Amino acid sequence: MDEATRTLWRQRAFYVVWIVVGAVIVAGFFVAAFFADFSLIELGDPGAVLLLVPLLTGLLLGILLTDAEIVVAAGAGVACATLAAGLVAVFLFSPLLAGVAVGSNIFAAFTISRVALSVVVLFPLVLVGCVLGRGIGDLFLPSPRLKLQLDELREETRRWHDALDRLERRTTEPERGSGGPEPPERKD
Amino acid sequence: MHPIARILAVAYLALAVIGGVVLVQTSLNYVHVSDINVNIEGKVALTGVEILWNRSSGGTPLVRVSVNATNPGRITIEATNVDFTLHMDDPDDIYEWYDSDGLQVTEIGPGGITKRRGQGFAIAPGESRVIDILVTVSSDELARFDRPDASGRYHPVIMEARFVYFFAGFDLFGILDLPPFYEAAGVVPVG
Repeated sequence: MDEATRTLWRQRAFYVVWIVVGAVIVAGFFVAAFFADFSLIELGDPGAVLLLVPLLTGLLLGILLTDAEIVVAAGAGVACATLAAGLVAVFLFSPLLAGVAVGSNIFAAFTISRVALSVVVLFPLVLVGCVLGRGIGDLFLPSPRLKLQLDELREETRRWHDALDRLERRTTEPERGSGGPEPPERKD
Repeated sequence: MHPIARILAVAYLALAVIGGVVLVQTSLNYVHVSDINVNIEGKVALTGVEILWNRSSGGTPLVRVSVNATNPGRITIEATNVDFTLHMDDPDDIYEWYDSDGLQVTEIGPGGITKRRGQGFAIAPGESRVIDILVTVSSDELARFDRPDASGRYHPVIMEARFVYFFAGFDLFGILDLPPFYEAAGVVPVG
C-alpha cells in the first residue's frame, strides 16, 4: 500500500470516528433530555437541548470535515443522525435486550413512536448543522494543507494572468517580434 | 487542521465522553426500573390481619394489617404509601365475602400508611420487608366490626389495597394494586 492510499484510508477512518463520536453526543443528550427521569444529569430546558445539541454537534462535525467535499459532509450528517437514532432505539429496547421485559404491543407502540420522533427531530438538525459547519470551516477555519492548496491555486492563476497580459502586450506591440508567452509550470 | 478546529475537536471528544456516560447510565437506570416494574407483581402481598382487642373491656379495637414486600430488582425501592379498605365479613349474612353488595354493608373504613419521600420503608435489592399498619376502629363502626362466627373468630377482608413505591435516586414511582385478602380461617382477637 503506497503512502497516498494509506493517507486516504486514514482520512476515511477519521471521518468514521467523527461520525460515531457525533452520534454518541447526539444520542446521549437526546436520551438525557427526553427521558430525564432516568438521567444522571439534570438539563434545565429539555426542549432547548433537543433542538440545540443536534444542531451544534452537526456544526462541529461539519467544521471537522472541512477538508472533505461538501457531499461527504452532508453524507456524514446523514450517517451521524442515523447512528444516533439507532443508539436511541437501543436505549428504548434495552429492557427487552437485557431480558427484564417481554415484548408486547403496547411496548412496541411506545418504542417505535419514540424512535420515529427521534428520527424526525435529529435528521434535519444534524444535516443542516453539518452543512453549515462545513461552510464555516471552509470560510474561517481552513486547514494549513487546504490553505496551501488555495495559495498555490491563486499563485498559478496569477501567473496565467501575467502570461496573458504579456501576450496582450506583444500583440499590441508587433514591432517587438514574434513568440507566445511561456505557459507557467502547473503545480498540482 | 486549523488550530481552532483542533480545540473544537477536543471539545467534541469531551462532549462525546459525557454523552457516552449519560447514555450508558440512563440505559442501565431504564433497565433497572423496568426490571422492578415488571417483576414486582406477586412480590407484594397482604399477609395477615390481627385484631388487638379485649372485647369484654369495652375499648375500641385496633386492627394490624401486615404487608410483605420483596424487592425483585437491583436498585433500592422505598415504600411510601399503602392504602386499603377494611371490611368485616358477616358469616350470618347471605353474601359471599367478595360480593359487591355484601361489601357495601361490611365496610369498616379506609386504612393505610403514608410516609414522606426519604422517610418511607427502604427495601434493598432482594430484601423482603414486612410493613405493619394499624387501623383504629371507632365506636361508630363497632356494630359492623363485631361480627364473629359461631366459634368466636372474625373474618376481616381487605379490599382495594394499593402499594406505592419510589425508586431510590429517581423522581419515579410505581403503583401496584394488591389482590384482595380474606382471612378464611378466622382471627381470634388478642388483648
